[in-house]
Amino acid sequence: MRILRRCIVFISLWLLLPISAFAQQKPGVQPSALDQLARNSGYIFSGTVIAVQRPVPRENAVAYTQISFRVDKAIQGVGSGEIFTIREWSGLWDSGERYRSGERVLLFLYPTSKLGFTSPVAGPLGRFAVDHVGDIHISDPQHTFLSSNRAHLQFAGRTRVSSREFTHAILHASENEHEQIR
Amino acid sequence: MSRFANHEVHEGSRSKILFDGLLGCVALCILLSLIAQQSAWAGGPHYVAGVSYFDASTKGTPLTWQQGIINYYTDQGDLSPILPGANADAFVADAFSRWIALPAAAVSATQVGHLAEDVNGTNVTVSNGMVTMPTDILPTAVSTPVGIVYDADGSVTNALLGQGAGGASSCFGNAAYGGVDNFSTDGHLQHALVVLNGNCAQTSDQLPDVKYRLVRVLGRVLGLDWSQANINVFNRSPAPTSGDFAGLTIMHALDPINCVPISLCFPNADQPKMDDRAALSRLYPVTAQNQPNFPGKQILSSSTVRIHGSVYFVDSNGQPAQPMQGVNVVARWINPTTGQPSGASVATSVSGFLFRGNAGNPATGFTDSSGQRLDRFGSDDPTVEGFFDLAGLEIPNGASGAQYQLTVEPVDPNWSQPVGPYGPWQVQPSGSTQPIIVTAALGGDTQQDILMQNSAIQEQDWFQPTSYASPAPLPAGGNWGGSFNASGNSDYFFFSGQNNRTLSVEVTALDESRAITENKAQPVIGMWGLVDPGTFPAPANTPLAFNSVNFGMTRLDAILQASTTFRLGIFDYRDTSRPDYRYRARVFYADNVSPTRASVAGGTPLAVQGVGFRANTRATAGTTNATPLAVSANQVILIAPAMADGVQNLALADPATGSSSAMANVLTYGAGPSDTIKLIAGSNPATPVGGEAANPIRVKVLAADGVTPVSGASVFFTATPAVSFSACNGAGSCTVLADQSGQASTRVTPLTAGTISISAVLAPGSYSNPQSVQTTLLATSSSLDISLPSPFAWIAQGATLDMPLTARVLSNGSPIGGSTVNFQVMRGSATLDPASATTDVNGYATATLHIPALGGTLQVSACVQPGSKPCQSFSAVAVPASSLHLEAVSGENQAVGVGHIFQPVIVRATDSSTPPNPVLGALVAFQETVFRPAPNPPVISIGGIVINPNPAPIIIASLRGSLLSDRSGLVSIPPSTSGAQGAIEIQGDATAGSGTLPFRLQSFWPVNPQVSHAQVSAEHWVSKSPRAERDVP
Repeated sequence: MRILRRCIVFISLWLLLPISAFAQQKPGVQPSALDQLARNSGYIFSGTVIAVQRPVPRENAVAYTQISFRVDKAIQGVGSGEIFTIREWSGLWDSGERYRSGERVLLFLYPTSKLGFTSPVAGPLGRFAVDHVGDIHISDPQHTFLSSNRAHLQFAGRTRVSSREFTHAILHASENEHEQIR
Repeated sequence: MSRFANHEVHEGSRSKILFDGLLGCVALCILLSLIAQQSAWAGGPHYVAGVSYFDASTKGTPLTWQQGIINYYTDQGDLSPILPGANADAFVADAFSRWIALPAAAVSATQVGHLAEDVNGTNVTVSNGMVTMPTDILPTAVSTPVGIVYDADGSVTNALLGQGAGGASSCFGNAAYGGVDNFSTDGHLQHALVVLNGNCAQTSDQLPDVKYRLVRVLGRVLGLDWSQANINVFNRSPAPTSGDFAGLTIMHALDPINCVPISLCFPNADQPKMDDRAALSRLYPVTAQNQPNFPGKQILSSSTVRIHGSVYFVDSNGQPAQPMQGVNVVARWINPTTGQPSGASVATSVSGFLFRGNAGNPATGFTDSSGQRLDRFGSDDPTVEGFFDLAGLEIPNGASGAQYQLTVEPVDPNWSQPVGPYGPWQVQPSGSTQPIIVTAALGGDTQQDILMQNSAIQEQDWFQPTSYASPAPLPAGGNWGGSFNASGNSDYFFFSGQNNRTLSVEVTALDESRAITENKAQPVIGMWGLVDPGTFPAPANTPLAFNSVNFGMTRLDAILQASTTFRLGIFDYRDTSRPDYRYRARVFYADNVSPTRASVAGGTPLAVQGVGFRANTRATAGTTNATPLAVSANQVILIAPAMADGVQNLALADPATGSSSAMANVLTYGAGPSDTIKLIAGSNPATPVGGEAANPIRVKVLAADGVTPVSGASVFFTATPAVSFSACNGAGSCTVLADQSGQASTRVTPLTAGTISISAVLAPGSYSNPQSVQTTLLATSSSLDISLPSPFAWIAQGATLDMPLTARVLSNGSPIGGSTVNFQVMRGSATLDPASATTDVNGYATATLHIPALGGTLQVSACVQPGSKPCQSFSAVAVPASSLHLEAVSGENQAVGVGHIFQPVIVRATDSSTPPNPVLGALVAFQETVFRPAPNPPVISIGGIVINPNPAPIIIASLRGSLLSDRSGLVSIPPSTSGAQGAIEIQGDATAGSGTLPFRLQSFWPVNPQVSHAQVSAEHWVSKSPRAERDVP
C-alpha cells in the first residue's frame, strides 16, 4: 500500500507538472514582452482604419491587402496625424488578420519587407483594440503576454489602459532596453 | 481544481494495475498518457458554403478537400541544417500523420512531389513593381494543391510578414503559418500554402514546438475551425486539472506566449485530442462507401457515438422557441468508475456552426472590406441556426455504451475570439441549462435538444413589422426601445428633416435584462433618403458598432443635405436576430428654431423644435453658449446670448452621450446680409447751431422683403461734421439697436454751421460693405437764435393734459442765459403757465402748456424778448382714436427663469401717417391673464399613431388697465404675476384705437440636468411594454 500511495503521489505530481509550469510566470525569466514587441517593431502607433483594399492581383502576382490608417498617436516610425498605409500578404487576411473601416487599433508592426509587406509583431498579440475614448484594451492572452514585463504589475487586473499610460510603458521598456545595451 | 484532479487520478486507477516501485509508476504514467491520447477526439468546420459564390446545392456544406485527399508538394530546399530536404519531408509527413492517422477520419495526405524550386528570398521578390513568387505556390496553383515552403533562412517570412518576422525571436507566431487560400465553387478546398521557418528549427530542442505549430496549421489546412474545449486551462475558471490539460484541443485558438517550449504547458501538445479527432472525423467521416479507400479505418457512425440537436431559446411556456447560435456545447464522457465527467474525454460543437455568423447588413453593406460577399460562408437555413453536432464521441474504456454529460458555455471572447460562427465578436448565451446526461450505445445517434431556461423571450416591438419599403414613423419624442428578433432584425423608421442640419442617432445595446452590454447585438445605423430605392451600404452609416465613448452605444452623426423625408435603419452588424438582442434608441435632432431672429443685445427667447432632447441638453449660438430655460423631448426654450449682427449656427448637444444637432445659418442676429435700412424721417429746416433739429432722424431696418421689420439690429449713427446725437447721450456717434418695430431714431443738435451729412449705417461691424442711409442738415449761426426742440406734436383727440414747452436762446451757437422768452397760444384752445420765462445758464426757458380736451390743431409761438424776435412756433395736431395704431418697442416676448422679473412691455402709439408719428396722450388699454402651465405629458405613440395630449392651462388671475402714452408715444405696461409663484405664463394684449398688440411672458423652473438619468430609467421601463412605447419628454 505504501508503494501504491507513493506511486499515486508521483503520478499526481507528474500530471500536475504542466499546471505548475503554466502557472509559473516569473518576471525577468524571459525578455520583457514590451521590449520584445518594441524591439521587433518598425512602426508603433494607435490609429483608425480609414480604408481597406484588396487589389486584384495581376497574373502570377502575390495578392495583398492594403490598409490605410489615420495615425492618432504615433510612438515609433510614423507621425501623428499622418495617413499611414500598409500592405499585408493576403494569406494573413485568409487567416483572420482582418481590419474594418472605422476600427481603432494599436499596432506593433514589423519594419516593411522588401516586398513592401508588414504585419503585427507576434501576430494577434501585437495588435491591441482601442476604444473610442482611446483606451487600449488588453485581452487575456495579451495580459499573459505582458506578464513577463513590469507592465504586468502596472496593468494587472485591468482590461483597459489609457493610451498615455500604455505609451509610457512602451517608451519606458524601450529606454530600459537601451540602458541594458549600454 | 481538486475535483477534476481527483477524477483524473481515479480514472487512472480504474486500470486496477499495481506496479512495484518507481519503474512501475513511470510505466503507469506512460500508460495514462496513452489512454489520454486514445480517449482524447474538436469544434467544427472553418468554412461552410453559403448562399453566394458556391453552387446552390452546396449551401450549408462544410468545405473539405475532395474525397479527403490532400496532395502536397514540398520545397526543393532544406528547412534547416538539422532538417535537410528529405528529413524535412519526413517531418512534414509526420505532422500530417497526426491527422490522417485518426481512425474514423477519411482523409489522406500524400507528398506527390516537390515544388519546382527552392522557395527562398531570391524568388519571393518584387519584379517590375509586381510582387511575385513561384507560380506553383500561388492560390491559383491548383495542380499543386498544398505547397509546403521550407524557409531556410527566414527570408521568405521576412518578405511576407515584415522584416524581422522570420527571425528566431518570432518563432512563437511564425514558426509555421499559412492556410487555405482558394475554394472551388462546388464546395471544396482547392489550394493552401504552408510556410515553415527554418530559423525556428535550428536545434532538435526546437522541433517539437515547430511540429506542434505545424500540426495546428495543417488542421486549418484540412478545414478545421478553432475550437474551445477546456478553456479553463487558459482562464483558470475553474482551475484546470491534469485531465483538462490532457483534453485540451490542439485547435484551441490562442496559445499563451510563455508556453515555450510548448511542453512546458501542454502534454502531448502535437497530438489531436478527442475534440480534434471528433471534429476532423465529422468533416471527413469514414463511411461504408468510402471505407475501401481508407483501409484499416473504422466507420465513424458505428465506432463512435453521436449526439446532435439544437440549442433553443424558450418561450413563456418553457417550450423551444428560436434557435440559439454561438453556444459552445460540450460533451464529456462520464467515467463509469467515478461517475464523474471527464476532463480528458471531451468534445465540443458550437451551435449554429453551419449557419452564417455574419451576412452583412443594409447599413454597412453585404461585402467585407475586400469587396467579397459576406454571405458566401454559412447557410441561411434557419433549421441549422442552433444546430450542434457531436458525432465522433469516443468511449474510452472500450465499452459498448457510455454516458455523456452535455453542458453549454459561452465561447470565451478572449481566448477563443476567432472561433466561429460568431468570431471575432462572440455573443453571450441567454439563459442557462442544467447538465444533461445522455446515455448512448456505441454506434448510436441521439438527438438531444437543449432548451436554455430563463432565456430571453421574444417581444413584439410596437413598430413591427417594418421593412426598407415600409418604415415606421419615428416615435414622436425620438426615444424608443426595440429588439432584433425573429419578427424583424432590421428596424426602419422615417422622419422629416431639413437641409443643413446635422443629427445624431444613438443606439445602445441591451441584454435580455435590459442592462447595457457589448456581448449581444452589435448595433449599426444607416440613413437614406426615403426616395432612395436601396443603396447598400447606406449613404450615411456607422462602419462599426460601439463607436462612441459610451459603453454599449453606437452613434451615427449625419449631415442632412436636403429637406426631405429620411429613412433610418437599425441593424445588428451581423444581421442576426435573437430575442436577447435589444436596444434603446434615440434620435437627437434639432429641426427648426422660432423666432429665427435674435437681438444683438441677446435675451431673445428661442424655441428649438426637434426630437430626442433631454434636460441636460446644451445649446450654442455660434460659438457662444446659450442658456436653456426649459427642455422637453421636442422643444428647448433658450435665451439667445448677445452676439454681433449676422447669421449664426445654432447647435444643441447632449454632453453625456456626445450627440449633437446643428442647424446651419438658422439664426439671424440683428441685421442679416440681405436686410435693408430705410430712412423714414430725417429732413429738417435750417437749424441753429446748438439747437435741436425739429425732426428726429428715424430709420427702419427691414428684411429683404422690404416689409418685415427687423428688430435688434445695429444701427450706427454718425455725422460729418460731428453733431450731438440724443440717442448717443450727446456723443457724435454710437450704435443704436432697432426696436421691435425695426426702428431706430435720434435727435440731432448741430455743433458747427454749414451742411452736415448724417449717416445711419446698418451693422458696419459685421459687413464689409454695409448698407447705409444719409440725410443732410443745414446748420446756421447768427447773433441771436431761438430753437424749439420737438416743435411738432401729435396728441390724441380729446386728450386733456399738460405738456412742457421748452425754447433755447442761442448766440452763434452759445446759450444765452437771463433772456426772456414769451409763449403765446396762436391757435386753438390752451393756456400757458408762465406765459413768459427766463432762460437758464444753458439758454433754456420752459413753460407748461395746459391742453383741455384737444379738439383740433393747436399752435403756440415762442419769441425772444425784447422785440419778439426771433420766434419759433410749436404745433400740435389732434389724432382721432380711429387713427391710432400701436407699434411694438420691446418686451412683447419674454422668457425668464423662476425668480427673475419680467421687463415692462413697451408699445408705441402712433397715428396712421406714413411714416407714422408718435401720439401723446393716447389711451392704451391692456389686459393680462396669468396661467399656470400644465405639466407637459409624454407624447405617446401606439402603433404609429401619435397622441400628443395637450391639457388646458390653469388660469390663476387676470387683470385689465389703461395708460396714457408719453410725448414719444410710448406706454410701459408693467407685467403682473398677481402674486403667483413659480413657473407661470402671462398672455396679454395692448389696444389703442384700431391697433392691438399681443404679448407673451413665460417663466420656467430651472432645468435639472439630473433629470436625464431619470429619463433614461423611464425609457428603460417603458421599453418593457411590448405594445406601447412612450416617449419621455
